[in-house]
Amino acid sequence: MGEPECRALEGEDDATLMAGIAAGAFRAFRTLVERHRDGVMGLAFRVTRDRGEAEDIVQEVFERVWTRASAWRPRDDGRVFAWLARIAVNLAIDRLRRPRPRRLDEVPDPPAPGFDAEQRLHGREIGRRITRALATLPDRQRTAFTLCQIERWSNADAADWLGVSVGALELLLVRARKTMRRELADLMGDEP
Amino acid sequence: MTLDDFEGGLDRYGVDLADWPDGVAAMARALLADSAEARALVETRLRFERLFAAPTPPPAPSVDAILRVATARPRRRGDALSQRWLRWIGAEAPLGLGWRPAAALATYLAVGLLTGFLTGSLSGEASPRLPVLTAATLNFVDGSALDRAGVLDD
Repeated sequence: MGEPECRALEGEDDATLMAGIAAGAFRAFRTLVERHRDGVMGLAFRVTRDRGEAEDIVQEVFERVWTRASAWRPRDDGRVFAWLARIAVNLAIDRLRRPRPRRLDEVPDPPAPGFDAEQRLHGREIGRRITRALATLPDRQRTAFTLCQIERWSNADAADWLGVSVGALELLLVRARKTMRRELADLMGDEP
Repeated sequence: MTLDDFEGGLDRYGVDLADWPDGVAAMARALLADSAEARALVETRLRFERLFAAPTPPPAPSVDAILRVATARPRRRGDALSQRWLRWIGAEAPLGLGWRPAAALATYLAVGLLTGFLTGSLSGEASPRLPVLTAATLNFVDGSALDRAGVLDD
């Protein structure tokens, strides 16, 4: 695949862009990054509640897209975001399990004036708890939960992407929500 | 609708009744109007939902920064060897039928026959009672000739 102009690529669906990226089309990659970086950042931040962690995850997600695009196989109508979301959540879990020291240039900017540092620390702890709880879920439950509970996909769309019936998706969600509620009960002031 | 049904619906469809199937949502609304327990259940679930509705996320790294870092690493050339091999076998064969699958099957069969032949020739027990070709075929199918010859005992 050649490299059509970026402008022309803006209208292309994700599956076409992925095919371009697999063939080494840099402009296709740029278009995909422009399209999904905010979505991936939002998800990573909602899971980790840590700006630095979320930025690293965004970076790593797209690094994987670029280096492993040939491994991607379209399973549906080209909704690449679900694939990116799955990678992002798995990366968050990996990073929690294998914390690494951060270089000085990786340390995020100080909080904006007026931002409550205590609240920020509390947010990070919530993020760690959420990530840890997500790690306890089997892969398909985790994906179902991520798409429906965090990304607010409809059950039908998530079932379509996962390649299961809506009923099967709902069973995954029931189990995932029960587990997550149990794991995070103290954060809700709720008993499991 | 019972309280248990309602709780099951919350797990299945989420806390927003707009996401529930119409008929079930109507019953859930009726229950909510009558039951303080049901309303308390919704409050609990809303607290759960709020855990995943974090404050507005900060801006993502710039596109240029993402591109610069992501493309700095070498791209993976092609796929795993096994995937390439499988693709080679099935490639360029309409509907998966072609000389490559046939050649692969023939090779597999030949190896099975050869193994069976050698096993049958070397086995003092199996050979007299079991013709070599039969032993080879059985071996190809399920390894039973090898088993008879005691090759699989270890």
